[in-house]
Amino acid sequence: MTTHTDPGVLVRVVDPPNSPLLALLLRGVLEDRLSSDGGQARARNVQGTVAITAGGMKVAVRFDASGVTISSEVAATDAQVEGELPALLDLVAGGNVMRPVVTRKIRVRGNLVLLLRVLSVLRSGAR
Amino acid sequence: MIEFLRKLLGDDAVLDEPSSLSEYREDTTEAEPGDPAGVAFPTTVEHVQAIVREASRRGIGLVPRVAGTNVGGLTNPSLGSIVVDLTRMNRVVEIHADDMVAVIEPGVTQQSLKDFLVERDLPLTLGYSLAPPHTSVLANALLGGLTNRSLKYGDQSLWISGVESVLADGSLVRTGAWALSDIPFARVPFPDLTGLFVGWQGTTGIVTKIAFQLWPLHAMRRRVLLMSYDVPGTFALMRRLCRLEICDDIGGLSWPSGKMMLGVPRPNPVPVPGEPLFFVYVDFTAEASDELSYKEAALQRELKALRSAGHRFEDPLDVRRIVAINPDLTAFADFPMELEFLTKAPGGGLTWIGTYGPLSRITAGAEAAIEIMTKHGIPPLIVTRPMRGGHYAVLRMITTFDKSDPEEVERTRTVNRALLDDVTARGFVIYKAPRWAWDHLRSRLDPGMLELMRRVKELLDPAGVLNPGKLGL
Repeated sequence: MTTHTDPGVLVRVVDPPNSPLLALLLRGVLEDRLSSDGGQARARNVQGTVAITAGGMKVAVRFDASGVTISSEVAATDAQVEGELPALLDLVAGGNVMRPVVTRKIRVRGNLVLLLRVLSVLRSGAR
Repeated sequence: MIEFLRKLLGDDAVLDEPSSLSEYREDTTEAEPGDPAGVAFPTTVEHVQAIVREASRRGIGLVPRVAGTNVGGLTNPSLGSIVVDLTRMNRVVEIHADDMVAVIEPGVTQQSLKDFLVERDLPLTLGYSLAPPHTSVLANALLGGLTNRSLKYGDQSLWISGVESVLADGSLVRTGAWALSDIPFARVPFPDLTGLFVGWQGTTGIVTKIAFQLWPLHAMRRRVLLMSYDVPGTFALMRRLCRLEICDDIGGLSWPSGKMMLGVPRPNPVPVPGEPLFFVYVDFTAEASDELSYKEAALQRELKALRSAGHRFEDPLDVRRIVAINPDLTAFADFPMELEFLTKAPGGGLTWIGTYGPLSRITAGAEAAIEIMTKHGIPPLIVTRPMRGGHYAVLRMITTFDKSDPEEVERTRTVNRALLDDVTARGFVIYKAPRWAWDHLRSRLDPGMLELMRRVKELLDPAGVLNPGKLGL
């Protein structure tokens, strides 16, 4: 399924019926965030692939010129985030960034600049 | 009969053109469509009495209906019958706030009763069924449906403290304390004649009012959602929380529900490895924050104990937070809900096997249901909830399907029969039972009960005009 988010950025989940819940959750979050100009601008500033692991689910989120692609096929990634789902969702919702990392509720590896940019997209306009 | 109805109700309250009758022929299920002669829209009890008298005299079937969303073909009309559409009888007739009871007509919906209470700033609430806002409170109660207050108070039929019903001869009866008292506070202490209209699917009378019990609205409310990674752990949590008596509601939805809400109408029936199998939502209410904190701490304590026993749960998430993160999940947040992921699923078909049964057997029942649905290639969408303090539970298996695809319709029928057979063998009992289910179960039912039902039906509807064919009668 492909969804157009206004104005023009694509968020795509590869093979939605066979995707883990995490992929679909992230799609909804990204569509919401990219519906604003601020989110759009932030997304255009991101290039690279992040692996996100929550609970037992793992997905790759790739940002490139064509938009954002979420896939359950996780091969080469530039950065990795891992943690319990509530901790990750709290982070997306605008919660404290450092505390879960310091307490190891969330573990990060790889390109930290990329991770911060992705986080900036995910938190843009967080309510 | 149509001429009689036009004279009684006026032209704008009668339908008989084939094109206008189409929406009354069937519901979303696989049940066979019916073929009504017309639809009547009464607005008063006297209208209903006159319609019933005339129909009885002519031997014409009457099918009472409001929203038609019972998901069991219960308002699919018999050939040549008249659908009595009660949506225009939509008044909250009385409210006895101190006694927490309202007298409502059939057309009062979940949303309209909620609005009524909110507009008057009454500290009362009703339970909401897993159905859209425009559905009838009275119909769900008479059919023994459940709501988000059923953990505490049982299925909604138990909240009816009296009915006003038109009998087949056009006479009117009031039951319960209402037969004597101006406040219809309870079904006792007289013989419980209310039961003659509860669960009878409109085959013993057309109920024109019910006295409906409401519940206190507390100052604070918290709904949390937690993800469970195994089926036994899900129900172990439910059982433990029931015994604590601290929750207003505990519900469990299997993994396809989340994916459907998130825009995948037909997820793979097999879960992706590593994803949660059940979403458990827990409602707490309280008058003060420390009371709420105590209840939330109790939940954490139970989770800790279950994790120690090897079950895996995510930490509880406040539903308001989840919805803020992903608005697609708004359906988890508040009642009543639109449920478009079900009611507007591709192909238009929506059906279920809804059962009540012992909480002690719900783990095995749910696991078997998941296996049956998966085997047939159907996403195992299951809704569960302990009821009446945990004395029983609902186990409901929901299927969406393409009504225009005969193969899919047949597959849906096959799966529903397989599910019914399995859960019945485990001691679960179908509610809002469609005609086919009654026929299917007839040989297994207690013959004494069947015979008594036949006698009651003959006594109350000798001409057989009230919702003909339903309940297998």
